[in-house]
Amino acid sequence: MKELEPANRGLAFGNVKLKDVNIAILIAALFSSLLVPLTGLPYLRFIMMYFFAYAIYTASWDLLYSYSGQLSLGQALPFGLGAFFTIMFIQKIPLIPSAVLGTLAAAAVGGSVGATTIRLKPGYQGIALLLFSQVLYQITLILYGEEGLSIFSATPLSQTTMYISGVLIFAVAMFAIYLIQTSTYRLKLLAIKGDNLAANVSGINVPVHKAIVFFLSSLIAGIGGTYYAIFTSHADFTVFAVPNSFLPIGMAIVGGTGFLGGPIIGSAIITMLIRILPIWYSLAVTLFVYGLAVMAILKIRPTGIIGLLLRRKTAKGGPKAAKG
Amino acid sequence: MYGLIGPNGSGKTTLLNLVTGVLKPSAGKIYFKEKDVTGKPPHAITKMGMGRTFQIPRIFPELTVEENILAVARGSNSKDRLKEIFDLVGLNPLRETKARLLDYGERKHLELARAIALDAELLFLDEPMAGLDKATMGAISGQVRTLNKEMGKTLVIIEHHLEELMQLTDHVFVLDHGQKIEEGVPETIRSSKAVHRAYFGG
Repeated sequence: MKELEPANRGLAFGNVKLKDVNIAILIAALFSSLLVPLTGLPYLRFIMMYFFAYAIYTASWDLLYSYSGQLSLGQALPFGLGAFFTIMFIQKIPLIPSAVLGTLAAAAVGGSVGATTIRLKPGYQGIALLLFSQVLYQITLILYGEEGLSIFSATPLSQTTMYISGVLIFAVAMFAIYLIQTSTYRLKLLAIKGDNLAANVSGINVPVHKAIVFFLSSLIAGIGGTYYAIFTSHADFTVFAVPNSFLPIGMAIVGGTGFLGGPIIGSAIITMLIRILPIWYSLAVTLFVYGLAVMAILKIRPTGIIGLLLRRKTAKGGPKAAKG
Repeated sequence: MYGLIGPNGSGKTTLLNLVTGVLKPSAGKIYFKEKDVTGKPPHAITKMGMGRTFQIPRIFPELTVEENILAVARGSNSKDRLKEIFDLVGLNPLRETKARLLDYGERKHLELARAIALDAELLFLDEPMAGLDKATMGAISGQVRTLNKEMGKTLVIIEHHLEELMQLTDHVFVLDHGQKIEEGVPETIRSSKAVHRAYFGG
């Protein structure tokens, strides 16, 4: 997968640096989100809730991949854990503490599982994580059956409350990721991604920072999973299914990896596609179009949709260094 | 300033990898500043004050030249210090350039700059002049001298360009088949029969 510039440099959108484009895309997404309820289309509002969850989910995968070079083919693990833990807690305690605890539990378990794979090469790491997610798939199928777990409440949250919560969660999660991606800490992560050994002999504790990113990524994926479980009132074994693990990868490919705008754009496009097409066509057609979109992007614009707008600045920054 | 030489396969880089924690020794102990560093991970050894470069420069390609330094810099990150480092290695005009766009010689300079930014007391330079043209070799020699004489760093240089090494260093160690076969001032090494045998046989 070809990447844009994760360091948020070297790309320009007119005279605006990519860093600012990310914020512009985030603001545009938030603005659109606030306009959707005014359309009076409940299904569109429901699709937007999927978008909030998927965008957070995709950004969590992208943080791991683009900022530390770690490949997860089982990102459904922390996402699904967030969903399951939250619904399990809701059976015992109120919603908000359940959501917080569910997300933290997903981060703890997802991060711990991920931390066991940090010494593996990216390909093997991805497969290991995929297998871990499949273990959860089987366990939840055995424990909760095909029907899974659902939220039954005498006083369910209104759709408006659910929607506004989604906008807020989306905004906070995305801004948190933006802060990570623009912090000086990202330099350490990109150094690790660039060359593990060089980073290590330069005093960077590579295993610790890789594990930290895994916990952060799991926390963010857990937030997405928690919100998903709350607005669908349900979690079952399919959240750990292979297609769900590949969903954020497809979305990141379509949107572009390495910066915040990619997951937002990719999630918006793919969510619309996989949620609207089934209204008229079968699931097979939907998946075919989805696969086609991913392949087309990989072939035509490996830097994702955002690559159509952004141009790569390849020229060197100045004259050659003096040699002495 | 120390030199470490020996024919190909004599164990120079292996020794460096052992000392800097990249490889773990199967036997024996390694001490740095009277502390046992045997088996410690590279980042821990670096934090104790030891830095290194590699034979083939290893940079962080997705970062700019300046970010390569900022990612690892220890001690002060002030603009003055950065300028001092970049002035020394001659990379000031390329500070905003992506490291992956640098040519081989510039990468060597960048790696040296990164090692300086670690604020290490002891620096190991693994073939800093390998694959460079005469002009760049001269530049690196000058920078290494400045590091030693003006910045007070202790340097251990592994190098195949023996003439340059002999001019730079005060004391040279010679390895062959993993054993130290000679040590001394450059003149001693030049006239050593053991060293001649190691290099030319007989």
